[in-house]
Amino acid sequence: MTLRHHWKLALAMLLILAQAGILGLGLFAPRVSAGYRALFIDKTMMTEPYQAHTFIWPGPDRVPETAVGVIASERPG
Amino acid sequence: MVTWRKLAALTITLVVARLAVYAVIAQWFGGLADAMCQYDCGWYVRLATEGYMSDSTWDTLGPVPNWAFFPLFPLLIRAAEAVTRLRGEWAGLILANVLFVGFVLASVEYLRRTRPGLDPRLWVAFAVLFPFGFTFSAAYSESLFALLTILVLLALQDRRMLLAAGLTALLCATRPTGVLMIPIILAHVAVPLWRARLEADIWARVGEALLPLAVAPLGLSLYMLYQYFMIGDALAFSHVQLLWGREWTGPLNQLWNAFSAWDWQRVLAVNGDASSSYAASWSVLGLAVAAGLAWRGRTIEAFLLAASVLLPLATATHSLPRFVATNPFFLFACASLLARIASRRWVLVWGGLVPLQVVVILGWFFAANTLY
Repeated sequence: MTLRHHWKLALAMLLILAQAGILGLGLFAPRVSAGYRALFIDKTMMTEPYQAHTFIWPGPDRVPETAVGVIASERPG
Repeated sequence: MVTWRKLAALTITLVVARLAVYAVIAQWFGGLADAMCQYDCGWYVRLATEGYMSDSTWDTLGPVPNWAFFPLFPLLIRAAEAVTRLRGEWAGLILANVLFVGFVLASVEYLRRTRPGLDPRLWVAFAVLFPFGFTFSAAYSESLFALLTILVLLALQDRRMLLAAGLTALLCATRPTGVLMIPIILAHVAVPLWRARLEADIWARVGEALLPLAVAPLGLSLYMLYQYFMIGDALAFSHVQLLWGREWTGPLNQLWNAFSAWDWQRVLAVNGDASSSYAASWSVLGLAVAAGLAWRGRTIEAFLLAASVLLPLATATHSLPRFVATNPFFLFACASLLARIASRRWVLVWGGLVPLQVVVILGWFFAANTLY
C-alpha cells in the first residue's frame, strides 16, 4: 500500500465523518425557535401553505440571529 | 458523418433563432429578458444580486425566505453579471442559453455512445424545438442541471470517478435532486471493489472507492452547513418547501388527489392554482417513459428519470411538467421515438414543434401557472 492510497482513504473518511456530522446537526440539533419548529419541522402550527410568508422572515435589520428567532413572537393571531 | 463544428454551429444557430422568435413575441410583454423571467427566475436573479440573507419579496406578501433555491446557479448568475455588466435578468438568460448549448452538445457525445443510430442533427433540432423545453432558455437551473447530469455520466463511462464525483458535488449544489446521482456513483465504485475483495491491496482499493463517494455529496453538505450557521436549521432548504405547498404525502396519494380534482379547466389559467390533473399527467408520462427505458435495459437513465419524478411527486404535483420536460433522458427517449416511428420526422419537427413552441411561449409570457 502506498502513501497516496493511505491519503485517499484518510481524506475520504474525514469527509464522510464531517458530512455525517452536518447531517446530524440538521436532523438532531437545529438551533431554531419554538415557532420555527412548530411551523416547519413539527408542522403543528399552521398547515395552510402560502399563509406563512408574512411572519417567517424578520427582515434585514434583524438578521442573522433573529432569522428564525422571532418567528414565535411574530405569529399572527 | 457530421462534424462537431457543424453540430455546434447548428445548435448555436437554432438557439439564437429561438431567442430571436421569443424576442419578437416578447415585445408586447416588456422585452425578452423580463418576459422570460417568470416565477422561479425572479428568485434566482434576486438571490444572485442580494444573497440568501436578504429581504426578498414575493408580490405583496412581504419578506420571505429563499432557502429552497440551491446556490450554484445564482452564484453563476452573479459571476455572469460581473463579467457582462448586464442586469440579472439578462445575465441569467445568457448564462442559461450558453449552458443549454453545452448540454445539447454534451448530449451529442452521450447519444453517440448510447444510441449510435440516432442522427445527431435530429437530436439537436428536437432539443431546441421541443416546446416545453423553453425553460432551458430562461434563467432557471434546468440547463445547468441537465449539462452537469450528462457530464457526470460521460465521466462515469470513462471511469474518471473523481471527476464524476466532483461534478456530482456541483449537481448537488444546483438542485435537491442532484443527490440522486450518488447511488449511481456508489454502484460504479462498489462493483469493482467487490470484485477486488480478495486482492492483497484491498485497503488501497477501498480508498479509491470511498473518495468519490465522499466527494459527491459535498455540494449539498456545504449548503447545509451554511444554512446551519446562518439560519440554525441545516435542513431549512427542505423544511421551507412547505411554503410552496410541498408536504410529503407520497406519490400515489398526490396522483389520486390530482386526478380526483379533474381540474383541466385550469390548464389555461393565468391566476390561481395550476391544473393538478395536467401536472399529474406529465408525471405519469415521465414514469411511463422511465419504464420504457428500463425495459430497454437503460437502467441508470430509467432510475434517474423515475426518481426525478417520484421525489417531487411525493410532495406535490406542481412543476412536474417542467421537471419531466427538461429531463435529459425523457428528451432522449422522445428523440429516439421520433427517429423510429416517423418516416417524415423532419416535417414533424419543423411543422409540429415550431408552432406548438410559439403557443407555449405565449402562455409563458402570459405567466400561465400551468407552465411553471
